[in-house]
Amino acid sequence: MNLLNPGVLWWLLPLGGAIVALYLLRMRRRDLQVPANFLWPERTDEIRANSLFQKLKFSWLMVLQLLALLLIGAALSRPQTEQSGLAGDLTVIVLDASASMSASEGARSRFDLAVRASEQIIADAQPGDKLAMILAGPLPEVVFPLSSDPALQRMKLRDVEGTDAEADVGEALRLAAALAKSDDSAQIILISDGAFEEPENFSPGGASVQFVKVGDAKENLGIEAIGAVQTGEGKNVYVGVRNYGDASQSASLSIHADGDLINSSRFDVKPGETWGRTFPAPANSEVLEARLTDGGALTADDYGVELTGSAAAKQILVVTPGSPFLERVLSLEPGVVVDKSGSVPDREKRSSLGPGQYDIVIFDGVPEEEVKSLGILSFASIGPSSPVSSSGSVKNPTFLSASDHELLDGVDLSGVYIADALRLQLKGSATAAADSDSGPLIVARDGLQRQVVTSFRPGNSDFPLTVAFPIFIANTIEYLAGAAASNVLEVATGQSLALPADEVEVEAPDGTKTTYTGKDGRTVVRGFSRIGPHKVKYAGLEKTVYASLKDPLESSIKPRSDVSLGGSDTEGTEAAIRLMDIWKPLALLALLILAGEWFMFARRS
Amino acid sequence: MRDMILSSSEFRLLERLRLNPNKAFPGRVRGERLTTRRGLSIEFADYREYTEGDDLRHLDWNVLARLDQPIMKTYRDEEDLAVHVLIDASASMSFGEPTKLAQARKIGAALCYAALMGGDAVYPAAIGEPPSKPQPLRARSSYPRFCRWANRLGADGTVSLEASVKSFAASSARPGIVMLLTDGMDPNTVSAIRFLAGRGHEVNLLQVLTPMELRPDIEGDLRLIDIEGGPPVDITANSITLKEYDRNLNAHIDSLKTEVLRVGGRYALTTTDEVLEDIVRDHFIRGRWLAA
Repeated sequence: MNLLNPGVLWWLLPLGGAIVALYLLRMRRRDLQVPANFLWPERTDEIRANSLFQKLKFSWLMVLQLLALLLIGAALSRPQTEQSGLAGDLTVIVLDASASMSASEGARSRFDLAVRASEQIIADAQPGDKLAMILAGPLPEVVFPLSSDPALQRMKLRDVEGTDAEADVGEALRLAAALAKSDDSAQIILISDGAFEEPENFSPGGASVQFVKVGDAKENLGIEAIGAVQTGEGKNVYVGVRNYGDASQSASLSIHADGDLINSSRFDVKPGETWGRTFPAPANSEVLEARLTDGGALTADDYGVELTGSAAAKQILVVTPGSPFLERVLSLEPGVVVDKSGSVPDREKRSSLGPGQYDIVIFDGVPEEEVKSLGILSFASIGPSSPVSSSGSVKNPTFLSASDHELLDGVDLSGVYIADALRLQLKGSATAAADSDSGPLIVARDGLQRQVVTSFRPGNSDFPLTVAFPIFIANTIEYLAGAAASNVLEVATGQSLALPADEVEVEAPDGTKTTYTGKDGRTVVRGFSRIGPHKVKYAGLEKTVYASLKDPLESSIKPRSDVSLGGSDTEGTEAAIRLMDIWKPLALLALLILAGEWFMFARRS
Repeated sequence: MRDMILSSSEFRLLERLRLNPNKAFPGRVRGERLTTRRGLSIEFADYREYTEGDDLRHLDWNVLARLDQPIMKTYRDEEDLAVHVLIDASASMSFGEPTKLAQARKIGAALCYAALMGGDAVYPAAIGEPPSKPQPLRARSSYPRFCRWANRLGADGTVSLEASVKSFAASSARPGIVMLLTDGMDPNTVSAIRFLAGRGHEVNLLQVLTPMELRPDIEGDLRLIDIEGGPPVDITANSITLKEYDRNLNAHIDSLKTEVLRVGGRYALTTTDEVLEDIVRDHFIRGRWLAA
């Protein structure tokens, strides 16, 4: 039972008290002399005006009036009862396909239960009800658009699959709200275990939001951390396993180096605690994998991977007072770890002793300095070791031509507007990858320390707004990494990867192959949805992309009883429900009681 | 001018009527009534064997001649009838238009006149007033005395009907016919009737009610005050209450009627708006209270 307007109930007390008070008033009776009163029954059904107080007497009229008041108050509070089925003509189902939804619930997965709940919703729909379904995976996907075709909906539903990735439930809900905004009585039904971050900027508008909770399992172990370190005793790999459940658990951990088992261990871990251990690893190993056995209901977090050596993630330092476009693109780039600083740390300067930490240093809006990194990318920043010199600035240079340099694979600069740029002159072995009518736009220099210089800052152009920008950054990182570039990559499950090819074939760990096609020499592989190594073939190359889930939120599989959606807490239900207004029968009953009360009053008066 | 209570047409109506009691009563003076006592009168009652000393004037000579056996004829004695006209003068009789007392007075006058015309002895008495020693009225010439007495009656009696009737019955009043003219608005009226009958009276009860008492036209929340005293009763005059009152009134009337009939008397109910001619015709003649 739900009350839309519970505040009305506060009025029942004073109003009921007023009715009782009326019956507490003593009747002012008219005296009438009679020959004898022994024939008269002493009936005092007080129904008229009153004066002073008296002892409260039982009266059916009072009972009926209080009952009618109660019913009217209840009707005005807009009570609603929960019934299975759909509430409105338009319903958008958001099906959570995150990693936690692949948790095992007995013989079936949590995702299977969610699909079954979706089937029930489709079955409960009335003819003419419009249903749409959005799969909340790493990227929201419309399973079927708004339609009134249950057969089509069931067919599409059979094809949906869960993922081992974190889902963007917020984006899926925003998309659902956009679909539902055409109907004020629309309903958004989220079928999930509630294991997701509170969606930001989500407003259901006039639609009602319902959270159908699935799953019961809560015991789970997950690989929380895996990292490799080179010590004086050799290469070591550290693995941390966290118990996200409520009970102690035992599990086995096996460590693999480049596919070969090198160690294993059996351990116990208490609830809420992390078990960690360091294992020795072969010095020349590149891919270190950890696999957990008996790791609880969720297997997606039973796998971890760490690339080392040349395969390790590229360490990039961005020296800038602030460059949002650049930082955003770098955060989406797989296989890189990005740090940001306003100036070059002393230990990274070439004048300091010892090795540097970063593979690539990017200067944007800060004068270039001599650093120890393998490569340097400078945006309109000239330093002593730059492959170019500057002879002033130019306004609105126009792109003229591009060489076949690998930096510009899949990058089209035609039409890019540049407000301000430096007029560059090449130095030494530097070559112009792209030219403008005012000189080189992009310059590259090969060597022990590769360098790339652009004559303009991204913020002084619309280059970051074009699809060419992330490709250029990816090409530049790969170019600057040089010999360090590897054929293995590590990504988080669900992460997308843009590759310079018109067609990319991805072979998932289970052997299924998917071919992605792009255009303009660029193809985006949308999400590696399963954990483990994926073989990626493109443009005659083959890379292995290792996907793993490192998300404590997904590993914490205990279903949430309620979730915060659109700024309000939404309580979970076992199945899709609709709230039926029951004020009408209550009002009718109140009317009948008032009619009965009137009839009784008329008979007695 | 002296109020004779009855009109000339009512006198004419009553002149040919006599009281018609269910049973006979011994009289004190010779009158026009037959008594059950065997005596020397002119109306033959029975035969009996002759015994020594009998008056030979009453020997049936015809039987003696045929059967050669002396048989004496006996006769019923003719005596006057004691007619007690009891008029309820309690406060409750002040209700109605005309009042119940006025109606009872008129009916009592009619009965008194008929009794006097029949040579009966009329003993008027007021119910609700302290008991007194009534003097009998005999002959039509006594009727004005009845009127003076009756006209003095006011509905201001302070003694209850039961107590007053019992007091009357306990007095040395001759057994006779009692014409009890009352509204019967006393829950113990039945007891009073039983007491009267127990003293050898033939109880003829004429209950006088107002139309308002039979069909009360009241509504609202009322405090009923009994004019003869007692605690007030709070009522809400609605259909339910009125129906219950109607049931109670009918039950009370039925109990009076049943008791009167049980003790060999007569019962009639009239209202204050019923004219005397109708009462005489519909109740007294048809009910054989009076006979021509």
